[in-house]
Amino acid sequence: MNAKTFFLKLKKKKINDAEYRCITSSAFSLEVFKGELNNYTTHTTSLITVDAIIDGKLVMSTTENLSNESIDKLIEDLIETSKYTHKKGALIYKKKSKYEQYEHFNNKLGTYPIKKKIDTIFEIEKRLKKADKRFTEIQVGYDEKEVSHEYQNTSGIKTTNKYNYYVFSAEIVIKENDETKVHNEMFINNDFAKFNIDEFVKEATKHALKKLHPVQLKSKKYNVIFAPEVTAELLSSYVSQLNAELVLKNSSWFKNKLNKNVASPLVTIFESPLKHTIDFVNSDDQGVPTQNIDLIKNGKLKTYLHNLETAKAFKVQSNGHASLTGSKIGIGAHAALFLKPGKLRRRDFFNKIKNGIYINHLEGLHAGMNAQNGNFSLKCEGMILENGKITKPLDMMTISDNLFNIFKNVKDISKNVEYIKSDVFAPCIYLNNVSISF
Amino acid sequence: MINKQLAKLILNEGLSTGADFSELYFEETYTHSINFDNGIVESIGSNNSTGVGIRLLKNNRSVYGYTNEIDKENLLKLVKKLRSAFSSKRKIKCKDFKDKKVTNINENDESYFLTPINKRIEILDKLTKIIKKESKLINRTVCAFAGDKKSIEIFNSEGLHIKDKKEHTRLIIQAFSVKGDKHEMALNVPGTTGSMNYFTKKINLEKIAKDVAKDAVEALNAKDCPSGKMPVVIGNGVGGVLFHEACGHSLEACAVSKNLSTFTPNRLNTKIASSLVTAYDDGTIKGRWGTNNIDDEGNKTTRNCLIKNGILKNYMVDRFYGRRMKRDANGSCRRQSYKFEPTTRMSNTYIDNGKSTPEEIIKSTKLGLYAKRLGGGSVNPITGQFEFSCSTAYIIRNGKICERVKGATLIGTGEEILKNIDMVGNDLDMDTGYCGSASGWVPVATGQPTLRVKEITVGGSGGKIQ
Repeated sequence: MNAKTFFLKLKKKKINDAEYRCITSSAFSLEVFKGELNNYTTHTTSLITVDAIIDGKLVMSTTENLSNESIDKLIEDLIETSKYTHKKGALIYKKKSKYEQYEHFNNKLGTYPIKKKIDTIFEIEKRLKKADKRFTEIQVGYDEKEVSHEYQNTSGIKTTNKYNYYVFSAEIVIKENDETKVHNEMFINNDFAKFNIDEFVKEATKHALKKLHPVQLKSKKYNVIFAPEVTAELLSSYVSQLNAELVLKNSSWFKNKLNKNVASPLVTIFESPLKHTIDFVNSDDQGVPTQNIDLIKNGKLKTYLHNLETAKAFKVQSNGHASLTGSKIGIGAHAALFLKPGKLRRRDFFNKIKNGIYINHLEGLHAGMNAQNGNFSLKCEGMILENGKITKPLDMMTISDNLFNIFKNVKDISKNVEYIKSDVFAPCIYLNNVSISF
Repeated sequence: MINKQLAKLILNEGLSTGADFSELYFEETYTHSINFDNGIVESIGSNNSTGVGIRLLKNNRSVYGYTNEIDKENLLKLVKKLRSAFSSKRKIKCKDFKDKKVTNINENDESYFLTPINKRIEILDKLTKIIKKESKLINRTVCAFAGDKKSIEIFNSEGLHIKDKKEHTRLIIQAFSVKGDKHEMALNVPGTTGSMNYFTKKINLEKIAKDVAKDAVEALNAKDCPSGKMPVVIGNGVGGVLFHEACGHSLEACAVSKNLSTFTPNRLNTKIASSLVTAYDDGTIKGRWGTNNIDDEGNKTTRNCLIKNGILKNYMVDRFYGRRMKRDANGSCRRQSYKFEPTTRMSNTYIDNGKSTPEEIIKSTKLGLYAKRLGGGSVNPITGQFEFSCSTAYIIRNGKICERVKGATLIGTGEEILKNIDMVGNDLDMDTGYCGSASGWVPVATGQPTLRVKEITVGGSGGKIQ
């Protein structure tokens, strides 16, 4: 099935507005366990999502059946579905636009022989085994993925996006006497030459051993520093609530807060989908060009995340956040989300705060937070900060707070920004009076 | 569907470089959903998915590939790519296929897919009105149907050829409440592998909708949950998610065989739980959300007793990880779709009934937490450490359920919880959910009667319990 045939067949049925999206992906993954390549997986698949606007209603269907014969049945289904759908006001993007171009697909990645990738994971396993006798089980993996997106609509808008990346991962079980800990290390990039095995093993070993011999403190309120990976997780959840559709449905905490102070004046959150990095995206799922924008500036809410429909309801232009979610065009935040860093380097930042708890892992934020009100109470991992230095690991502790209050109460932000796997760039943030129980 | 000649060709090609087992899995899935948001049909979605997964095993190595281009040329291309992972001589040839028949556990009448769309919308509309009528503080409702029907066909080099059909239908009932700056949400999601009769005749949808509305409104006045160690009474049904996460995953062969579980094989037939605990993983319960006629490598599902009176009796085992453990597969191998290599997974997992009544359990608790409904959570199967949020919880004072609390989290290790269960009720119930793991998201039921754990660490921001 291709877009042209689909659009022509719709036209014969007097349906003039429609969209076509095709995602093609191919990937392979390798896993080493106890000196054996115990798993190898590979695939190539295509997925087509089409929608049409019938009587102002958007109807959508997804198929993996790529034959042209399937189009007639699919169109019949769309027409039938439109009879039962109530929601009207669906829109299609018609404005001829300029799309930023950047080639972020790395052609070289696929040219490295698989053998080199297999040899590398064997080598990682070997070195980790050698690194410490307390590493009792080690599982090392390599994943490589190539994805291409194609978007077309009946108004002549056509965009494409193609990217690839690879991930090295290691799961290490550390055992000493009756104590068992687990550490996961990961490296993501799309340039194979950038993978440094020495550094990967060194970091994995360092972080894994740091987890041994944890202590517990008294349950009370502490000064807390969130590590960049934790800040990044909180930031993603926070920004997802800027979804204009949730605002319209009275389901977002940010309702009626546009141009008001919602966070500490230290907090500036921005998106850079057009930055020339691996996360580059030039259009959203309605073909609207993306843009680099401030979401929250010095604590003030500047905009919600819009698709064409919510933008119309708010009488603004879409800022390119349409995202396919289930059977509709919803709204999603982009990759390349940033929290603006502060001035102090990590060491100076810790020295300034002196004493507290450094939290470097939150467990189950996706399921454990009440998205309606931002409340959460989650198991976390961390270390004690004593006189500006990270000392002992902490075990079995719970942090209880509120997502929105966290960003309101940020007291300081560090300069060190780390690129996190979820495509969020975040520094450390510091808060005081955070409830921690053991 | 795949013809036998092509299947045999593919399986034999897969065996040509020394694999000792090859398997071809074909799947065709159709999903349909209706989203009724705040009284209108916001969207109706459908999805067609068809594909093939090929698995080759050689000793303790597995190779898996999948594609949705299922003509001969592409399947040959895929299997040739897969077999290149091995480099020895052919050991075996594919046997002639023997058709194996499936015994259907569930009813096939009144399918969700045969129910007219307007009838389905009528149900959603009715539920929406019930919720909204309950309180003016309800500012949004979401009621939705989501159904999928799947046809699968499995061939393997041992001569197995089996076909099966399965359906899942789920009803999402969700209420959002608001009071000033306070926002809350409550939901219930009944689901079945049986017919629409489940929703219209077997369960009381009206009561469920009213309870959801009440729950969302009541939550607006909840106080912050106190923290610390305390006795916790866990409600029946959805409370079983704790056993699923904190213990069930540690009993899956994929973790046990690699020594990545607290319950290693040397602990079989030893005491790992309170004598009050007997637990099953049972994929054979009619209509239940985790029920299947056969698993995803073609074995009949079973009622597997995992723990009997506190003694560890068995694991859930699939073909691949069973090799490492030297144990036969027991119908516990599952996958989300052809896009996932199958592995050991749970089905309907529950702690069986005990002798106490729920009232006796509450009455005998002086000061503690009543976790009526659990929300999401996570577990590390290697250490057994878990954390769970409570979506509905109350403080128990002097044997009575008192104030509602919010933000409660249960934290501990699976083994600690199992050993500390000191009362088990007689009101076993099950709930539906999706379990995410190595082979994707699969529908599972979790269950238990009301039970009490004499001490769990509870996280919350309400200070010490008083």
